[in-house]
This record gives sequence, C-alpha cells and structure tokens, in this order.
Amino acid sequence: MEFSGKVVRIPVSGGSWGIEGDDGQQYRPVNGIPKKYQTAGARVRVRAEAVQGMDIFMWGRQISISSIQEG
Amino acid sequence: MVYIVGPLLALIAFGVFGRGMVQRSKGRGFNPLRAFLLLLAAFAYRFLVPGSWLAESYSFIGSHANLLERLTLMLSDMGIGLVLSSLYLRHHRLQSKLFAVPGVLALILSGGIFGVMSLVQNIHTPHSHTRSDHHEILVELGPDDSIDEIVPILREYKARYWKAFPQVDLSEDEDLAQFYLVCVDSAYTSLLLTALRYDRENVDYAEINHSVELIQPIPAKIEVSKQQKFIANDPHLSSQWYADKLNYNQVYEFLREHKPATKVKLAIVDTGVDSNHEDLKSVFRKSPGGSDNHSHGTHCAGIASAATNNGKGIGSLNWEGEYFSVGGYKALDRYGRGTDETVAKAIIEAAEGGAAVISMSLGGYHPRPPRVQEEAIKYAKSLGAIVVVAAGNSNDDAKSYSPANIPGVIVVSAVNESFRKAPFSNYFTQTKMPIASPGVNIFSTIPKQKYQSFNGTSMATPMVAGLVALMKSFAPELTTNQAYEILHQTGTVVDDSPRIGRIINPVAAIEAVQTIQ
Repeated sequence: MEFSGKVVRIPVSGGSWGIEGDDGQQYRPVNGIPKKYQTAGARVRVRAEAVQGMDIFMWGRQISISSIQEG
Repeated sequence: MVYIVGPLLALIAFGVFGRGMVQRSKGRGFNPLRAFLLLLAAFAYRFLVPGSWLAESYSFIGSHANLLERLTLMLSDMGIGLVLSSLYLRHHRLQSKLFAVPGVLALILSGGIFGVMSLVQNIHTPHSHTRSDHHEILVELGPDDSIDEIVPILREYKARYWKAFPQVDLSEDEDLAQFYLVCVDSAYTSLLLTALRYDRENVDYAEINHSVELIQPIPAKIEVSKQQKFIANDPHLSSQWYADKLNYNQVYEFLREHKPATKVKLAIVDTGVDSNHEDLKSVFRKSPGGSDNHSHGTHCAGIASAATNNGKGIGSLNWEGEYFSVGGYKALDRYGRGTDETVAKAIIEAAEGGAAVISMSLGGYHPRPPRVQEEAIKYAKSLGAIVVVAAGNSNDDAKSYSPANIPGVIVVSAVNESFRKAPFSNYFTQTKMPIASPGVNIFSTIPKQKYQSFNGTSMATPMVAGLVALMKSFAPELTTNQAYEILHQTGTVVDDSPRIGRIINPVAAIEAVQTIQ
C-alpha cells in the first residue's frame, strides 16, 4: 500500500511513533519510523505492507514500512 | 554492573593468590585464607545476584536456565580472573601457566556452553531468530488428522515444521494440541498457504504467525494524589492518584479485617516481570517470565500486585502481599518481538501454572481474532482462569481489536483523573463484558528498582485484574460471569459509561463478593 500522512506521537504504554494517514486511518509501523522523521506533525509518504500482530500499543493498523520519504 | 562485579571479585581473589605466590618466591609467608574468602564471595555473588539476559538463551531447558546461566557467568568470571592474574605472575617472572591454562579453559568452557545453548535455543524457538527471508505459518489440523498427512505438501515447499504447543496433548485440548508451526522460504509463503487452505480434509486453519516489535518507553506525567493519607506505609502512594480516587484506603481497612479464603495466582502475560524489583520480590512466584528487558510487564505487575504496606514503593490492592501472588509469562521476547504463537504459548503456560486470573495488556487490530489465541483463551478458561484484557488505544471500537473481541474475556477501557474516557482509549459498542479503570498517568514499578508513570488501557487492565484476583481470593470458585456481574453492578456510572462501561469500585466489589463465598 502507499499513503501520505503525518507523524504522531502515540502517548500510551511508554510511547511510540505512528502515522495518521490522509485517509483517516492510523498506522503503526512495526519496524519503526526512521529518526529523521520522528517529529510530531512531519509529513511523510510511505510505501508499506500491512501486517497483523499484537503488541502493547494496541494503536491503529500495523504496517511494515518498505520506504518512507518527505511528503 | 552485573558484568563487572563478578569478574572483579574473581580478579582480586586470584590477584591475592598471585601476590601470595610472589611473596612466597621471596621467602615470605602467605596465608591463602583471604584469597579463598574473596573467591567464595565471587561464587556467592553469582548465585545470589541474577539479572543477566543469558537465562533467556537457555530458557528452553526450563527451570534450570537460571542455574546454568550462573554457572556460565561463574566460569567466565574465573577465566577472566585467572588469565589476568597469570599476566601479573608473568610480570614477576613466575610460573604463570598454573593460572593461564585453567583460565583459558574456563573461558572456552563458558563460551562453549553459551554458544551451544544459544544454537539449540535458536533451533528450539526459531521465531525469535527467523531469517527475514522466511515466514512462519500457524497450521491447525483437524482433531483426527496427523501431520504426516500434510508432510508431502510441506516437503514440496521445503518447509520445516514442529508442534506449536508440545506441552498440550489431545486429551487436554484437541484444538491447541493440533497446532503446528511451519517455517518456509518467503518466496513460497503464499503458495504454501493456498495449498494448506485448499486441503480442507486435514487443515482446519492456516495463517501467518504475525510478529510485532516494540520501542523503548518514554515517561508520562506523575500526578500527585490529593488525599495523601493512606493507612498503608508505601511512600509512593501519594504519586498514585488512582489509589485515592478508587478509595484504596477503604479497601485496606477492609482487608485488615478480612483474611483471604486462599491465596490465588495472578499471571501477567507481557514482556516479563522483573522479579528482583524491591516492590515485587515478595509477591512474585516462580514462573518463566521472571525478567523484563522492556518495562511494560513490570509496570503492569506493579499496578496489579505490588506488595502493599511494606514500606517500599507503591501500593496495590494486594495488602501485605497476602491475597495473591504474581507470575510473569513472556509473550514478547527481549527484542520486544512476539507472535500470535508466543502470545498463545504464554497464555497456556499461565493457565497450566494454575493462574486464577490472567492479565493481558497487549493486542492489535484484528477484526477477526487469531484462531490460535481464541483457542488458548478457551483453554485457559477451561482450567478455571478469568481472563482480563485491554480494549486498545486507538479511540476506536474495541470490536475490531483482539483479544478484546474474543468471547468470554473481561475488556478494560481507560479513564483519566476526571473519570472521563481517556482520549486514546477504545470504546465499546458490542463488547459483552466491558469495564473501565484509570489508565492515564499511572505510576508503577519498572525494572532496576525504578518507578515510572505510563498511559494506556495497558495500565487500566492490570488494575482490574488485580481486583478480580482479590475477589477470587475470597471466593476461589468465582467464574468469569460472576466476577463481571459484580464489577458491573458495583461499578461507578459516569457520563461516558455507555461507551466505556462502568468504572470499577474496589470496595463495593470486594464487599459484594463476600455474599457469594
């Protein structure tokens, strides 16, 4: 899948980074967001694969990012 | 620290030995007692002070993992001490082989044990180290089917396989006993999945064994309680606003007068629990997840069960640790990764370990819950456990999140200091057993004798699980439905209750449970 959105701080279970897509969905990259994009509000364009799993954040849909760029 | 003290003690011990030999070579006397005592201290240190990650590499051998870990570290301590002391002897032109040879042998032996055990562990639990070009598939066979019947398909795709839950046999649970893990090159994953799903005669279910990763936590705010006058002497109770708001003081007064019918077992299925934490040590019972290299599991364990009125740390509903013990069951490994299978395995371990209540502060977006977890929870309930799970943190309907959407579990949403729905908390439209509990700025234990504040339905869940364990300590036969009915009937109704359930009222709940003893 490919989408654009903004980076947000997930304020639960100690904290993590997620992406609120322009499509209204929440996405949590299980392989993390590169440090340079770890700023709340940063616009990103992402290519990713949907994954299903369980974690302590229980936030949004889990994805595995294959590429990310400003956007 | 744990890596320095041992070798240092050994080094000093052998250093004293070496110095004695130097003195003896100069015709002076040498009393080896001091060196022996130091050596003894080095041994004692290794046996009394655990806390290394090595035990995880040995976890497949079960309860002996910690012993073997200590042995490995002791050998490496001795090796380092002997080798460095041999250099000291060599410096004084004395026979250094006496120390050097056993030193090198000890290091080789220590390294050898670690290497072999890590290798076997990798083979034993391949999910932890599955190469990125491989996938794992969870396959459930029909109750009367054998793995032999699908071996030709597995061979065709060069897949390896093993039983997912070897500890469960058919007589105990005919679903879980038929789960297999299949490891296959990612190039063949889709083809193999299709082939397995097509074989409806033998295969009931085939799905990718999903994996997840975690990120190290950051702190939340510490909210100071307004009351600040608890009869318990735990110094950090003043940092637990929820203890004030949920009237823990009244609970403590009640518990001082009412002893439990039995001490029950609470299980935290999570990242493990730091069993050496000062506020958990006395309530922790022997269980596989006695260490926590994340912090989430230890935080949850503290909320549910921290020893109370012990003059240390925080308070929970476990007055003086007399009502329930807590055990750790790792669903997520030291890298923060877990799979559907590891979560299911941890639930099974907890249930078979006699857990009366299982607290699960984990989950994910699964409109259709993973079958393997449904089966694991069903199995745990059949053994008498009450399962309490988190609603999720997406400000979304909990019906799309698992394990919140698995039948027969109590599902917990989170409220803030004003008893309003926490902005992140999932809500309920179709959940059968919804309940709410504080989940914002929750202060609790984290590894290495520390305390921290976190947010989340993760934090609200163990608070409810702790209360259910307390209720079960008075009424050991309490069922999930009875427990939920009491939580609901005695719960505090707030504006948001139609969306998040009623908020737990611990005093009223434990008073109510007395009537059904």
